[in-house]
Amino acid sequence: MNVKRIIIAGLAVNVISFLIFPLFFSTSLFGWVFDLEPTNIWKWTPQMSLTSMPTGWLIFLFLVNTALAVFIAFLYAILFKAIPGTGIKKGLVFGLLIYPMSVLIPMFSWYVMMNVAGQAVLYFTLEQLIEILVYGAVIGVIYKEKEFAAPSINSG
Amino acid sequence: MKSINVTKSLLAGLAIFFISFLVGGGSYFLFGWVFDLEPSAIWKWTPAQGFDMPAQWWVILFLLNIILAIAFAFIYALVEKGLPGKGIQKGLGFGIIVWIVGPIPALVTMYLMMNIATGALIYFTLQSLFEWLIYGAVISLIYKAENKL
Repeated sequence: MNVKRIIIAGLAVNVISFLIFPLFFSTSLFGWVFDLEPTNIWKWTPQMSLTSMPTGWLIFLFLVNTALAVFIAFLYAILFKAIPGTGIKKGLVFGLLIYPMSVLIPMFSWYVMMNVAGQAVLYFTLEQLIEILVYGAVIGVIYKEKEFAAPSINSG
Repeated sequence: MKSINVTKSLLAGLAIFFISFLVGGGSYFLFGWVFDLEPSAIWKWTPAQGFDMPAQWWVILFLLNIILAIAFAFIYALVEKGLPGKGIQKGLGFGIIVWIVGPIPALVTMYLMMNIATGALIYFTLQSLFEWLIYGAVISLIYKAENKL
């Protein structure tokens, strides 16, 4: 297992998740999702800037997001040999494999058990498919097993 | 890519479909007080309602549950070779992996974005770990890669 590349891929996913965040959670594009009734379930909406949230909330967001991003890259490394394809294709397949676990089950639970607008659940289900494919592609490009690592990365 | 035992994947999927109702449903009824923690308006269904839900809700619950259960058994079959350990250890490892990439990010999102009781989130965190360890163990016991069709 190439630990260095796991960490690099995880951190890349973490950074990219914050970079593409405005694409899916901004008032100009999909903010209307949070206006679908019932709206009283939301603690945070795109109408609120991230910096308006308590410091503890922001620290929790950053730390857990980083930890989960690195774990996803670690999981890719664990399953590396079992995932078909190579490079970016392997990453996209990995994204598709974890999509049911990381998105479909939670969205199913939200829809069945919680008072969340059906359209909002549908939006999150589709939006997260794009997200997870992007993350898979990024990991697929960055992560390589040791024997395939670029010569310039000595410790990789 | 190794071949997949389709019959055993289907059996494993059906097994966790049934077990999900026993374990998931049972735990909700045992710990029904969690749904009374404020803000309780967030819940569409609570154990207090029991089976009193529209027919459409039940149809969606059954259909999606069975599709996802079978999908998970197939995903296990696909990645089984890459999972560490043997037999039930592989299943438990798979359960933990699913728990970390599935319920944990969802519960973190709920904590960050939704007005939901922290006590309920702690309960769902533990309950989902318990559930996924059982599902993983059941899948690994039913599915054996060496028995190919």
